[in-house]
Amino acid sequence: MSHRSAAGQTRALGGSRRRLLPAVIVLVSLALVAMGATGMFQYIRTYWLYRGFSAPSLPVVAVVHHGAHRETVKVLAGTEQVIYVRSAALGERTEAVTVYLPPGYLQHPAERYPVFYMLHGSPGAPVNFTQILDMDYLEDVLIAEHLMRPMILVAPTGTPSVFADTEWANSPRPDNDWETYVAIEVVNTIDHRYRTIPNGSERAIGGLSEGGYGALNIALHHPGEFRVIESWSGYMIADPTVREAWGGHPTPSLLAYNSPAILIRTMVPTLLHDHTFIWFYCGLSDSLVAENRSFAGELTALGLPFEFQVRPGSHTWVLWRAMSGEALMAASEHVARA
Amino acid sequence: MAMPPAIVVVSLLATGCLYWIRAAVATWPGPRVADALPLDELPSHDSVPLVVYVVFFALAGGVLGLLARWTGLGRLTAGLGLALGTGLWTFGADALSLFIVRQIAFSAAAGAAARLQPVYLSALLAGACGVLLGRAQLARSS
Repeated sequence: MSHRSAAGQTRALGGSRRRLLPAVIVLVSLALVAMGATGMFQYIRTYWLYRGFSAPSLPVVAVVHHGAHRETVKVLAGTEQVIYVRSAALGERTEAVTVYLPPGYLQHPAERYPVFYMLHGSPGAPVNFTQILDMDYLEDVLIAEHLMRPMILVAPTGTPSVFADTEWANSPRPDNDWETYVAIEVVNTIDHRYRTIPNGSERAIGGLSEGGYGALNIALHHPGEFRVIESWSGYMIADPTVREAWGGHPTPSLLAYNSPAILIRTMVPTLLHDHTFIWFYCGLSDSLVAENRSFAGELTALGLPFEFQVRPGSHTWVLWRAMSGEALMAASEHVARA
Repeated sequence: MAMPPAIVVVSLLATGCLYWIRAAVATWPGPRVADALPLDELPSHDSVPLVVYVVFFALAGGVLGLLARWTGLGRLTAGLGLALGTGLWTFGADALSLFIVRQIAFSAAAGAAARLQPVYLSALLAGACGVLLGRAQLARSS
């Protein structure tokens, strides 16, 4: 009886173990699936929005140096707005434009401001400048530290969809005149809606990667419209393989006209007359560094005013974030300097 | 037909697990798999310890191997199919990630992705699991 009872107990124990094992496997699997799904969600969200950097936050105070004396000052926040611009150049499409009004804009209705137009890369979006590069909060801090003038920051959209590549150029294809959209339509809209100083000498244009190329190309095609041109890891020769921008068989004249390194040779008197200043940099490990160095050599030979830096780093947000304060200060320093 | 979506889902979950556990194993000693999380370009953020990578992708390969067995795939087919499928998916996902974070042409991103360790390591692990867990081909007696 006792043997039978013991055997029964063993069988029951084995049976419960056999039932327990699948349950444990299911539970572990569910835990791994939950872990993987939440991890993947966070991974994609964090990198799409912030490229792995922490979400931006405005410092409460900044430190101002007066020689050996240090003063702590409160950082005032500006205001971000998103407006929509209907564009004839883009076939009556409506595109979003992010506008950052500096601290004090709403409180001083008589004040007028210079404008810095910032062009994103590809793939990219206007929010890259605020969510990844923190340029809005950076401007607030730099203003508090008296390191730059208050400027309106404007970041237009330069692509009809996330992965479309427009080069910020006027395309031979109909309703794809992104250059006209930025240089004429966005500028006019901003000058109309906001208290800007509506003069090319009080405008800067810049951008990262493709946006840097676009800034150079647009500014050279519209002399006098932008006093400062900034290219952050940009390029200076049109890429003929971008079919969306140039069509299937771009002509050499179209590519030359859209290659700032070539076009600038014909524009020296105009650029000198307009006191145009070119500020650009490139990462030491970036494949574009040779092209940037060559452009700097060309500017030197042509006698045009510029500042060029090669910084450690590659074609990445790490470098663009590290340089965004200098980019703001350079724009602020050189608008209306002459 | 069930295998391609399964490869995508299981590989995504394994990568999600790597992201989830990344901070906890950041200081572990030993060799690391670079660009295991290629959307992250911050210095030393994109790699995970080799042992952690192998554990999660071996688990993923195990799940895929069991699925291959369940669908009746033989060892050779399962091994080759899982290696090729996982490698291609990882390559595509890594190329897209590099395209997004590095702001370079897709062809350049694809070229860079082809040189990443995880593309080959994930394919190797999935292939090995396919060979181990696929159905044995029984010799027919005449």
